[in-house]
Amino acid sequence: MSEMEDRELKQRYGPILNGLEAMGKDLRRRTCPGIAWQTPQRGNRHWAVLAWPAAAAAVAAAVLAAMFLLAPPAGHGDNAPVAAIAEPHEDDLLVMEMLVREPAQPATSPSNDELWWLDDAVLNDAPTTNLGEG
Amino acid sequence: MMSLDRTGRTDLMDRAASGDDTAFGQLALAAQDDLYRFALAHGLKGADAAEVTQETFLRAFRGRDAWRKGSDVSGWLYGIAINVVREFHRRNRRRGAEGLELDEMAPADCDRPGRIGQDVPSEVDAALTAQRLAWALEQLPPRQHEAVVCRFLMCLSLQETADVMGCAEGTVKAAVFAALENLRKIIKTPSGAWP
Repeated sequence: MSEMEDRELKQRYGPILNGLEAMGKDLRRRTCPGIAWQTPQRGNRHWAVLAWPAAAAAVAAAVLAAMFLLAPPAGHGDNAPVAAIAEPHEDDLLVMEMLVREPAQPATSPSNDELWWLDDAVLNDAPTTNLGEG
Repeated sequence: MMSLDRTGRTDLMDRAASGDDTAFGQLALAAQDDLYRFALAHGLKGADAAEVTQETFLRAFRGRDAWRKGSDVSGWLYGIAINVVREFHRRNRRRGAEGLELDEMAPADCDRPGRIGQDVPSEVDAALTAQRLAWALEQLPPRQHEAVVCRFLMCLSLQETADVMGCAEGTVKAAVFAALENLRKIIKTPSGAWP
């Protein structure tokens, strides 16, 4: 791997991989809201496995009911109001256009050998290994 | 919170498959953070990620009779979780950078010599905000998104990623490559320069 190819790979993917690494670090700080596992009762069709989702569902149902009761009266039949369809944002159109033009997979996919830089030994913990090696 | 390595978790699953329900409860405690993060990394919000975690454990518990002793329980759980996530997305068809609610992005500077990106100008790294990258990830086709999540956010090996996604290692690498190319295109400004 030449020095120029190494520099080009770093320039091409470095910011993204650095960003993903930072996202991964932040992700590892997250912890699951405590799930108290309760073994489902054998033979009992009504399994109360976890307490908090049931409570959350009850709250959500109460909120939805309140919203329904407080909502303005809807039209009937053919006179029912049609929900406005939001115009897509210009940036969304640009992205969609780009993704439609550019195939999701490259026209000629690189061979497995050419993707050596995506192997575990290169991407994972290897302090002296960089894209210039291998 | 209990913390067990992979061998410890596999031992717990072996016992659970033999009828030890307490062991399964211990496994759920040990593995819930990883599964929760897995769901968050796929763009789910906190409550939805917790629901996916719960559903994953339920399915694992129901399927414990089919467990092969000595197998890798982490990979098995991730394999269940990815199917739950796929079903969730199919039901909800969400778009946008939801779920990965990053409070504050970790410093992007490299702390190990020789790592990729060390020579990239700092203003380029700083400009690639977590929010924008998370949004860009959501625009990827599902398989490419999964490959990036497994390889770079969950730090699974190629083989583990292939097992979770149910495909060959070469397919994973091709999906990762295509994802990186698409991310570059999505993130780059119309002028062609990095933001």
